[in-house]
Amino acid sequence: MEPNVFLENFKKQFIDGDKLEIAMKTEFRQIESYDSLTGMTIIVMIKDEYNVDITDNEYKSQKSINDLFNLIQSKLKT
Amino acid sequence: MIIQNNFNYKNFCELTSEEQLLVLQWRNHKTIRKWMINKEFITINKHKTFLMQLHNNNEKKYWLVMKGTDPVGVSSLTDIKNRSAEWGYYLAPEYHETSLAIEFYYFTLDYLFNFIKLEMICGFELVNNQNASSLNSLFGFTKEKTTKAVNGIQIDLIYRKLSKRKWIEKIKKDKKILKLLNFALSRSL
Repeated sequence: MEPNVFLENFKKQFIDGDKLEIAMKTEFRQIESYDSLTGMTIIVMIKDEYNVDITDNEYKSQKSINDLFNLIQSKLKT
Repeated sequence: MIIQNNFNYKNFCELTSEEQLLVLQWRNHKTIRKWMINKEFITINKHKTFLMQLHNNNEKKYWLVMKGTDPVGVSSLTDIKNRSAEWGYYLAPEYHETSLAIEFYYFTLDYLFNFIKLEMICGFELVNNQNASSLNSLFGFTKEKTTKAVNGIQIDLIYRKLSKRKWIEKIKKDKKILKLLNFALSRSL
């Protein structure tokens, strides 16, 4: 699982994903176009692309894209 | 109480004292009140008066929405006339940013069109309410800028509208909506 690929997959969930300038350290709820529906499509993408289930509470406690990436990695290892 | 795919709609006129208090707490919660057109803090006395006035009122209906036995939000209709009405809704604060939103939205719209038999649903959202805007757009509501006088002040709003025909012929079977709905349902089993 590559961070740059994850970042691209993450950006695709945004309505303005092709114009977004974000990095792994970006706190994703601070992105202007982020909303709860985008949040849900991100969780679906994680299931589709990485076959990892993230609960609503786990998702809510993540701040940066890197936090989310690390959570997925930890779940892939178990 | 009406049951729609494990979602129950309990008329505000039938609420227990505990449920009356619960919806007041939700209504006054900062994360809900900030997206209300009327942001006024509601006192318990005002709330009780409001609930009393709902009895025998054919132009306004409010429901406590429950999933199974869990109260999850509120759905309302105002200005009910000729099979059209203005829709309002909110999720309980603990369900914000969860996949329940898509279930709530889908089954509540289906309830309003198929059980209440509305032909047209309209509504207003604050221009900066991005969460509501995304959901309303996903579910095919038309979008139009407008203003409305609230307590003597004109505020900018987005006016939304969705017909029963569009709901049945297009939105209810939209692939993206069904994918999100099925995903949400699979998590809530």
